Amino acid sequence: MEQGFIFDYAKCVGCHACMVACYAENSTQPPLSWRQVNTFNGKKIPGHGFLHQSLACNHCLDAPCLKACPAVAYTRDSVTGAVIHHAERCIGCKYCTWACPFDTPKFNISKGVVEKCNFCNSRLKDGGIPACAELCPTGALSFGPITVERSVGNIGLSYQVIRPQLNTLRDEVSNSLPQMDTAATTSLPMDDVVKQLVEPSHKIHSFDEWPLVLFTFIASAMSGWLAAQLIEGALPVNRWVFGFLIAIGAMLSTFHLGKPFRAARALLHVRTSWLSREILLFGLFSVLSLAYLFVSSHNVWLIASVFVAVLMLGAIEMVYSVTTKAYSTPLHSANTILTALAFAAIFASATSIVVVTLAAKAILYLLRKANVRTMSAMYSLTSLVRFILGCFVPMVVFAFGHSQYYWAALASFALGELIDRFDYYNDLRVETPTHNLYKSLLSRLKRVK
Amino acid sequence: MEIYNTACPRNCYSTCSFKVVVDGGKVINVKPNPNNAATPEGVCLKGISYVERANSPDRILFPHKRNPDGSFSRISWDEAYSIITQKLIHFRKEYGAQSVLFYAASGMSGLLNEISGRFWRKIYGGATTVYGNLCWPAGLEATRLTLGENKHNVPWDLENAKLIVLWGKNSSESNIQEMIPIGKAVDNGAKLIVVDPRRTDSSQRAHLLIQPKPSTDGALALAVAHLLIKNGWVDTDFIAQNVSGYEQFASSVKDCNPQWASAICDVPVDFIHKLAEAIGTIKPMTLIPGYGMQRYSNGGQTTRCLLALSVLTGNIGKPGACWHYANLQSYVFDDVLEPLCYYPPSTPDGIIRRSIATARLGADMLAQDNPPLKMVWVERGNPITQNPNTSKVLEAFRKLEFRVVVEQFFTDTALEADIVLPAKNMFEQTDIIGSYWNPYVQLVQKVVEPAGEVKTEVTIYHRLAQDLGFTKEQADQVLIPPTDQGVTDFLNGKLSAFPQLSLEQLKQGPVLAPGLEEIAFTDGVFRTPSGKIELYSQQAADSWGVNPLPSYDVGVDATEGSNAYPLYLMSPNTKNRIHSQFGNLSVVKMVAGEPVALINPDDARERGIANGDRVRVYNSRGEVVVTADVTFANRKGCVTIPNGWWRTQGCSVNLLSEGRETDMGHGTAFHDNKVEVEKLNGKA
Repeated sequence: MEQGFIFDYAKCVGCHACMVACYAENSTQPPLSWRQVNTFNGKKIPGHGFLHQSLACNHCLDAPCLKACPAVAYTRDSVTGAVIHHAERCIGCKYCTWACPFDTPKFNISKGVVEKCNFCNSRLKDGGIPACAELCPTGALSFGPITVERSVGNIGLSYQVIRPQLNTLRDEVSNSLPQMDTAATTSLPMDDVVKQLVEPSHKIHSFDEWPLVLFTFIASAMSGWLAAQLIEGALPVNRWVFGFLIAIGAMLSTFHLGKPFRAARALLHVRTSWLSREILLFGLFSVLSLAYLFVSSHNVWLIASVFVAVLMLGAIEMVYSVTTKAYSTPLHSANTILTALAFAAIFASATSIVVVTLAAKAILYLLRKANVRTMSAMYSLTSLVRFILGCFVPMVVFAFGHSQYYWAALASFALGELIDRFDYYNDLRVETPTHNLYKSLLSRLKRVK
Repeated sequence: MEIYNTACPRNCYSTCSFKVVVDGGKVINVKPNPNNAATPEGVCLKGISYVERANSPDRILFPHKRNPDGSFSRISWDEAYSIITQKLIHFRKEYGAQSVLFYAASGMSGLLNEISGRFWRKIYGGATTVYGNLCWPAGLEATRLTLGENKHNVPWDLENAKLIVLWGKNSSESNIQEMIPIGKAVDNGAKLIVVDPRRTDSSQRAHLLIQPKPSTDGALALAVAHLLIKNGWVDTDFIAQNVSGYEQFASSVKDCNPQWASAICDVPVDFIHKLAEAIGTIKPMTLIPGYGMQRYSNGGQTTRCLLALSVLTGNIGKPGACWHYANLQSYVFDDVLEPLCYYPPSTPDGIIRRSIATARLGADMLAQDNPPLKMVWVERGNPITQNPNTSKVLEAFRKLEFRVVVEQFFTDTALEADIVLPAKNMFEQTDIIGSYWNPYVQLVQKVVEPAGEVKTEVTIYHRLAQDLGFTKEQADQVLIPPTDQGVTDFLNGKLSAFPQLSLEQLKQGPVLAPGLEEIAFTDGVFRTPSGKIELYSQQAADSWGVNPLPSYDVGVDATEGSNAYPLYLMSPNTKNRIHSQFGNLSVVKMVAGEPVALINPDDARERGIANGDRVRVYNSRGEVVVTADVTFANRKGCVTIPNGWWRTQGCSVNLLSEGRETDMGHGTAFHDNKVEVEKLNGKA
């Protein structure tokens, strides 16, 4: 039988000894910690119970980190079942930190690589148990055979079926509530109480991810430009500009890594990692398109490039499938394939396609914004600018045939799209226990209301 | 790699046993020691953080001298000894030995601490010292007056209780291992009641939470007593047999009805009924009062009011039935137990001038005359941070001509020193400790050689004795030889009174205290003047001028007659530190975060304060600037700043507290404290 962590909510008092035990055993560098203690209703909102939740790596049998890693930096120990991260193989792409719904892999900025709980693997091999479980002073955290898969969907924990080696006990303690005089604590109406809650900050911020924003945007634009060549009268591809864009794309995808000089490792895990596939297809696209532009202008090269471009954009979209999305439209208006299509239409001056794709984008955009509840002045202004630049201006120029403004329309569209692509990253969500606990609390508060 | 048994010598209930892993002369890890039935799963986060603390690059490893610009330079031991000896001789000659204040606090327990006292009395020929204590004397004295002794059932007996009342105690932070038997009792169907202005983590599984205004617990308890008597929920047989003063007490609480208490405590009347019904009808009950509640000017009387509930219901001396305040049964080596050892002598001996109340350290230091104080020697303590009214203590320290501080780290107090001497840690010298909660005698083992140039106090005093003109043999005689063998002989001497105890046996793990009563007071012997449990205590009235009966006394006017400071300031201990220790470690900072003030959302809203804002917390004595943690865990009208952050860490909460004594026991009433909070505008 598989072994794993057993956590009893009713025994945990939130003392954090487990985190310190992990530090002492593994010499991690605070404030980075492989184990974390989360809280449910840490603000002690009256009328609702609270609990603490200690989590590290659950060494899932279907570990998403292991699948997602493009550099094969993760392996599973065949004896102990531990999912081991090998720092010397890590390229620092942080993709695993998006893939894991337990917020387990931690990026160490000073080292440029990810690190995480290793199950105290050497202790396991010596017949011992992990330090955190050994040193929990109330016995809330222990280690032993995993008997039931109760942890799936348990409070704060993911519904993803990835078979975490974790048993949780007595989560009903989150409903444990003493009789108490709520008037001693607050006279605020429940609406105001809900406002006291602060949503935990999200993992992905577009400005931090600017290399990815630019890379995916350039990939869309190049794909569109090349695809336009299939249509008569399209704006011809300037080989030097195109070569320059490929070089920029390659640099962006390399130098945002924690370990740029290990970038080639990104190709090692094509079998399961969409990130590996994306990088491989970008390389293939670069080779084919440069061959077409510099070596032979035979259409075979063009068609092959465009075919690979479509696969590449598909891979890009799949890379982000590990995240959840804050928008509810079926497609994001800055979807790379849609953007590439619009670019293709504009480069080809295919008026009707331009109008249709831009209209589709505009509808997707407006539907998305309609669901945003609170907007700051800056947010509203940016949204308006993006709409005018990306949709309105090019549509007017093309619909009314003002071809003398072609370049202005192209630039306007590109700028609007870039803003939207930044927006896309702000709409990406990574599932974490902290966010799940926050959502559980919010839904309980609303149910009571 | 070697593994040794040891125990944590901090001033903490739990006093955990643990194992320490040593490799290459360094402490590299810790492990639990299941042989201590009170701490079977191991130490708390602080105990584990010894791995950092023992090896910290911030540790003071050499003597230091303060430069005129306030920085410190390393000096040799010879230079340190020479400077200190010159000063000691000079002050003794010019002003007398009592011009030197010897200040030692509770930073490290152990029998060897006795050597320091011997030095000042027998080698230097005298000194000034403090009386009283910062922690728990009011409650100890209240218990002593009532029951005759401070002892209680073993911690694991809590599992037998059917009702557990945590009254002002937050075990999940201050006594984490106590949550194990509490949890087992709840699993077995016991009711858990928490009385605390805060909704603490200890209340997670509670059935009833009562949140009175701070310092009003006495009134709440008297109203409960009123209802117990009115409803016939008292144990008349137990009272008839064991209690003195019941009739007087019963008539004194006739008017203490729930309406009266509700107006004082701001607890709804029906909740007082619920509390009384539980206490009156569920047996056995263990009542666990905390220590914070008795650090008010009415703390002793408050404790007597609470204790009356255990007495009325006969919840003393039975399995699961207990007044769980302090268990001094493992203090087998002490001649005079707490709280009596805290009292100043009725007739001074002319050698040690015990004239400064710890509670009023700053003011009393300044007030000393004939001779005035010229020098202080501090060991095992950080009074600048931990004693009330930090500004006053600082003023008194800065008025002195010379300050020596023996420390492991540059604390607020060490930063005031002229000479800082590196202090040993718990892994560098063997010693023996007891516990005021678990019933074991334990060995703190030397497992490594002192780091750097660290010398133990025993060594330091031995050398100073010679520098002051004693021969080595005389120093050996009066103190002890400063060697491992000297320590062993000293400890064996102590153990010789107990054939059940030996160093070899203690090295194997904790040993139950000789003469331990697992269930205290089963013999019905109460060492009070009447030989009974004294609800009515003439001794209380005679010694302290309080009501001979438990009574609710309004706390001192913590507002100083002003409405400018409307919020109660609570400054509890946190799981992250023992007083001011551990907070400087990087791993503890990771857990504890930056200094915060917990403030209730209603109070925050009135002041325009949002979660995360920088706020100024102030009163007439001082101010601190911290980050607001707006939380429903605090009741309305209360602000909480955990004590123990240093000034250099951003917040010394005792800048806000006043130095005054409790109503009895020479405790410290720094919890009578009110403040105002305002948002800091743009000048954080």
